[in-house]
Amino acid sequence: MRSRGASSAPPGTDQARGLRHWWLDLSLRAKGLIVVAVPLIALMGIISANLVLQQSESNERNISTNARNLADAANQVLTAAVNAETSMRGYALSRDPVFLAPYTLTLTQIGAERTALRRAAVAAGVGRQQQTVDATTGQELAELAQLRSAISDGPSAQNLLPALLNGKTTMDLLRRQVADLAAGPTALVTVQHDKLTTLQTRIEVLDIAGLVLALLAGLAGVALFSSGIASRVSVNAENARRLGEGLPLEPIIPAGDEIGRLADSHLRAEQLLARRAAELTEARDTAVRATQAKNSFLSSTSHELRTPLNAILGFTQLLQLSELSEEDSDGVDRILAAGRHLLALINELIDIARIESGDLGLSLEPVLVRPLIEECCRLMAPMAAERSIRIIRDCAHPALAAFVDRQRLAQILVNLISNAVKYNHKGGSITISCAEEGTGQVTVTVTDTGPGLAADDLERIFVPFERLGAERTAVEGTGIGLPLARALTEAMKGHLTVSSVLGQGAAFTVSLTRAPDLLHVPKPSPAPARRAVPPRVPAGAGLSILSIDDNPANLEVIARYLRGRPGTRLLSAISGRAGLDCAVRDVPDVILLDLHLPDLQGDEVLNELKADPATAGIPVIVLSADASRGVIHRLLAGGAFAYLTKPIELAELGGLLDTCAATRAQDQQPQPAIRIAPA
Amino acid sequence: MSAQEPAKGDPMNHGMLYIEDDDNNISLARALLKRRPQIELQVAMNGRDGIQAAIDKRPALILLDNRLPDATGSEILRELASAPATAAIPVVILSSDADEFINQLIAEGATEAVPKPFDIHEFIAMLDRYFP
Repeated sequence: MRSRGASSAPPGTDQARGLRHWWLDLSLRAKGLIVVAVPLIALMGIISANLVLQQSESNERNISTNARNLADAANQVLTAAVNAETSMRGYALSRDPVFLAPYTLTLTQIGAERTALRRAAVAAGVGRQQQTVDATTGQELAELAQLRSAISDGPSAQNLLPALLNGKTTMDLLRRQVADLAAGPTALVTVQHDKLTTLQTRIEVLDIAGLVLALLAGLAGVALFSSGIASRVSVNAENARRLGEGLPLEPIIPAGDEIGRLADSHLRAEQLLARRAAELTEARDTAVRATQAKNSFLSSTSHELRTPLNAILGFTQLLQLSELSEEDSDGVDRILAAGRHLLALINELIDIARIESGDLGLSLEPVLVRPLIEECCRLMAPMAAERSIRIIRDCAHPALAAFVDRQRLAQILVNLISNAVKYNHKGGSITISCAEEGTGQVTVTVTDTGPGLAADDLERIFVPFERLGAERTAVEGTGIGLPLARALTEAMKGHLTVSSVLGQGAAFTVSLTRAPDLLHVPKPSPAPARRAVPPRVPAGAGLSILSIDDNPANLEVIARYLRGRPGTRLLSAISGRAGLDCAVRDVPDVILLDLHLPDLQGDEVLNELKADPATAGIPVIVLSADASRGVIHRLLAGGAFAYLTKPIELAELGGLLDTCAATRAQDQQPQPAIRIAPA
Repeated sequence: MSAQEPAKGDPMNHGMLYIEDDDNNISLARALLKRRPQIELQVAMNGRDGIQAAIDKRPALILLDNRLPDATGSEILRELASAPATAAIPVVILSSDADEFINQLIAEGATEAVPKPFDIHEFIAMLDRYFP
């Protein structure tokens, strides 16, 4: 487990570290809110400051308008009063009523103008001063009305003078009052204007500061997201990938937010995976140990049981060879028979144990059925002859093949035929037939003419050591032959069944997986002409032979055969690759090549051998049970020297080896010895 | 790889080495060899003695048990094949082990195998092939 970030944090003050932790622990939602809110608040500040400014401007405009209105209204009232007074003076001098026209007009208009002035004054907040102006206006109008009456009564100009002077005084008063009235609001406008200017300056500063702040906050947000969150997310993504590929994780700074939790999950997943991997390794090791223990137990059991039997059977056989009384000789025979029985039992029990542990090591390949049946019949013929039992073979289809382990199928058939001999009437018969069953099956049936089986016993015979009373008779048997035969059949994905009519014999049927028909190769005539041609190899000038075959049983057969040929040297490889290596290294005189190899196809091996100048000249004899005519042609065209059918006819192999040895002695390439059977 | 050279090359060599730790099997071999008195039997009861005896005596044939107190058949086969003095001597496996173990030894270079328990006639026939 790696350290988590504390050491990788940049050095800084406690405060900075605290702030960093505070920020890292904030949830993504809060971080997003902060990043968005900071510029937003700044913008809102700017907007509200502007609103305040607008409000103030609007106030100022109102105040100015009111002041202007007041001044206008006051001047109108003053102008009207001045016009009225001027008009009255003219009339006083001329006594001509024409001069009274402006006065009369003033009288009709001044009411409205005074009302307008009152409203403007109320709006500007100077009502009291307006009342003074209005009172003075009223007094002026009253004095003018008095003057007009006096003029109409006709007094002299001297008599009118005091009234005129009086009017002038009132008029001057009115002028002063009007000036005073307009002065207040006008001054206020100036003050307000100054205030507004100040406010405007402040708001401009605020605007700029706010914009700068909002810009900075926005930049900071982008920086935090891109450099902080984005990089952390990408480290997490990288870690997720590494987790998927089982690599160690990159260190990550611990944090309480969602990304931090994601990182924690990755760490936990990594720990979990490591734990699971350790458990799996342990489980596998345990299984391997168990298998080894089981294999070792089987092999030890086999070894421990057979070792004493070797001494028992060996010394008994020696005794048998010596001069014994009839009684002793009978005893020795019984010891030998019992010992052999025990050996058969051990072998079959070990086979059953292997099948049960899935450890049988079958080598399934296409096998011709008819030759195998013939072989088994030949093997059992002496035993059948002893009891005068006839063996009838009934196999019409010469190319019929099944996908089986050849040795094991032979074991099954020998077991069934041996039973058919043992549990038969003396002088009876056994029929062995093979047939194709549907599309995918091959059946081999062994029928006897013995006493048969009751329906109840049909399955009991497959139970180990269930011999249906035969143990009390002279019939030999281990009691596990049929259970083993059935287990072997099932291990080859087949079925073993029995049918019987009591008193009329029994029929045991092995159903197997069918393989494509094989080319049927008849056994060579006893003395093929070409065997006579090559001379026997001189002793000591033997061949070196490389066998490329994964089936040890085949190797054993060949090894045994070659013992009879002086000077031959056998090399073996159990895979195609090992065979090719060996061919290049040791350059044998002949190669025996099986077509069914665990790693390469036989024809691939052949092609590689022929492609390499170092090995191209070595004759290759192909061994197979299942090559079709087309395959054989292809192999021979590809440079194979000859083709032999399994099971190998050893005399035939010998003939081919003689040919190779002879041509080698003459230091020339052997002519292909092709043998193709009629279809 | 397997050396397939029966001892016919040197008809004067009648030495046979039996590497085996089971007394009964040794006695049986001695009893059987009374029928072939020309064969000079040497017995080694463990792998180390067996290899030493093979190097010292250079027998015409070695009989090898697969399970010895100090070595397996494979190990002994390897040792014998690696020493020039013994590489050419044919080795016959005498073993009570299951077939696949015996086949394995053949693949590893043993000349042949006689599975135990063996038929004495088969055993004698095997001897006759190496000591005609």
